[in-house]
Amino acid sequence: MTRGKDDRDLQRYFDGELRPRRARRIREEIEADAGARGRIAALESMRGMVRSASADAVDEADFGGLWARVRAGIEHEPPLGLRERLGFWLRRWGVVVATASAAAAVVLFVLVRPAHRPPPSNDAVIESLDVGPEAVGTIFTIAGSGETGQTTVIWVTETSAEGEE
Amino acid sequence: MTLLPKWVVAGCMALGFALVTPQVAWGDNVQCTIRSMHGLEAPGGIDKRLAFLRKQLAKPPFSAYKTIKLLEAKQLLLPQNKTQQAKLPTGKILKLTFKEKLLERKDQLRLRLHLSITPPKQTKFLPGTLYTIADRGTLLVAGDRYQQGTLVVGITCQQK
Repeated sequence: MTRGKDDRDLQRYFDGELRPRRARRIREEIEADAGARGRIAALESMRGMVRSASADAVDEADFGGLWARVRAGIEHEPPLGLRERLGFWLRRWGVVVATASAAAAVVLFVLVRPAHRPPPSNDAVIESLDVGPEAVGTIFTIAGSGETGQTTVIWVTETSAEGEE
Repeated sequence: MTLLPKWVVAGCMALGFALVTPQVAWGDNVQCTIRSMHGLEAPGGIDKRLAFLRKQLAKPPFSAYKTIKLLEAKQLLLPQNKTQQAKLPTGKILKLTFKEKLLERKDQLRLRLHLSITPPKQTKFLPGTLYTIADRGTLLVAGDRYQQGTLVVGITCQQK
């Protein structure tokens, strides 16, 4: 066994990480090798020191008033203001809400938008015109401008006074 | 390749057509609005409800009227070849008959209508005119004297 590989195997053996078959072989090697036994002893000694130090640290720590201090801190923490709550809400849900709103706007635009309708044309074709007796009929158009085309007008003038109501 | 059921394909195609085609409903009725407008020489301006005709009413011969008021607007629903009538402020009777729909180039819809405006049971004034006009177009008939002014009748029809 090389030293490096030995040390890794010994460390894993010491930590109980080896499979049973491999652990059995390493144990046999340790029993036959005084140097390996010495290294295992050193590892056990180090583990004992670490455990002892940890136990001492825990003994010295005072956990008696820990929960009381935590609870007091929670109770005395001022409630979040409207702005903070709104900011928190926006950070958490803002992207989702914005995306959903945009999608809804697109759907509404597609479904609800009126079909493009050009302005109506008032240009009529008069196929026949009959005016009553004592009346004169005139057909003319008013010129349009821009989008509006021309507008057809029928003007009927009664020559008798009976037209006045 | 997985084949979709025919009803799914048909439904998707119908939805697609509904979204991309103009919203045109083809019916046998037309809805007409008969607007009676009163032109007066006294100052007053053009009625706000006649904004859609403002440009036309601001030009001769209507520009001679300083006031154009909307007296009333009546709705007539006209099935094909059926005549409906409305009484005008002058007492004359307006009769309107929807004759047929015509499709011009670019699928532009025109309506053929017969119009008469006469005193009740008489053939004076305008016993009959046959005309075609674009869907939603307005024909103006004017000249009837009414209360120190002139009555202008606007006939606007659109398919329903």
